[in-house]
Amino acid sequence: MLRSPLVQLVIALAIAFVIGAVAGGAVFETLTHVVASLFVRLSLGIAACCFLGFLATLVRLLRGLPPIDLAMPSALSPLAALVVTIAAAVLIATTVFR
Amino acid sequence: MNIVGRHRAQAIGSHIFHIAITVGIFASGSTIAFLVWRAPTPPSCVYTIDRLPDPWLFVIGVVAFVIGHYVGVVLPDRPPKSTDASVKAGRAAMVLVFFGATLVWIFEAIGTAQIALASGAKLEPITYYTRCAIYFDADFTGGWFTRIAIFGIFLIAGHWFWSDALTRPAVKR
Repeated sequence: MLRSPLVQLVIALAIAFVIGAVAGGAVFETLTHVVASLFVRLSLGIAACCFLGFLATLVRLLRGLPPIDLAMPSALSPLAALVVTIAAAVLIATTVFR
Repeated sequence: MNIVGRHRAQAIGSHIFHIAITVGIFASGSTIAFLVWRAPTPPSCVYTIDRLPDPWLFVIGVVAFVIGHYVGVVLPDRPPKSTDASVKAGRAAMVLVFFGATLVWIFEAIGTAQIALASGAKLEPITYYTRCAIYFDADFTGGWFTRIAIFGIFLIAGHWFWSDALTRPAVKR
């Protein structure tokens, strides 16, 4: 079954995140001799996702391929987007900045 | 004002908006960075409940987010027709953004672990340095550059991510 580009991207990011958190955490512990905590692994997982984005955009650019058309859903409510944004801001303001 | 004149006024207003916001964020960020750099002693930026979270910074962000959206309604962007070079430059910029983000998150992992450097100093998470800049700005300028930076960043976020440009009928040039 052929999945949409957006679904393929989400799956690829999930896999990259897990690999970054697990394998990246192991490499981190080997290099630094410091135990990789949960938040260290989360950061490494996100770094792996960004690296996947870097590789994907670079390869497609060098090969002359067009950008991936993700066909993002266009029917999202602006109000829902605003609520999600405010929730994320509250989460950041009350947890990360402590 | 006829329709051509209105479109021209909107285009000029849109350009002024983008330039002003870019200059505002750059000025605020570089000023705060300068204050931190010029600090006479290594700052102690440990979280204290009396300084952050500041609800007014949150309110400023939300208000700017909504304004950013309505600026896009009043002053819709009319970008020039893209060329092959501009498309390639845009895609190359995205490559650099992803590469930079990768380095940032690796630094965040190292900072979160608070790994000590050879000099004895410890690395901290990026949020530590952000908080440090906010503290210093509050001490030196009363926090105005922080407010300007937050306003500008959320204005752009509302302008970009809550845009109706995709659903608006295309304007004939």
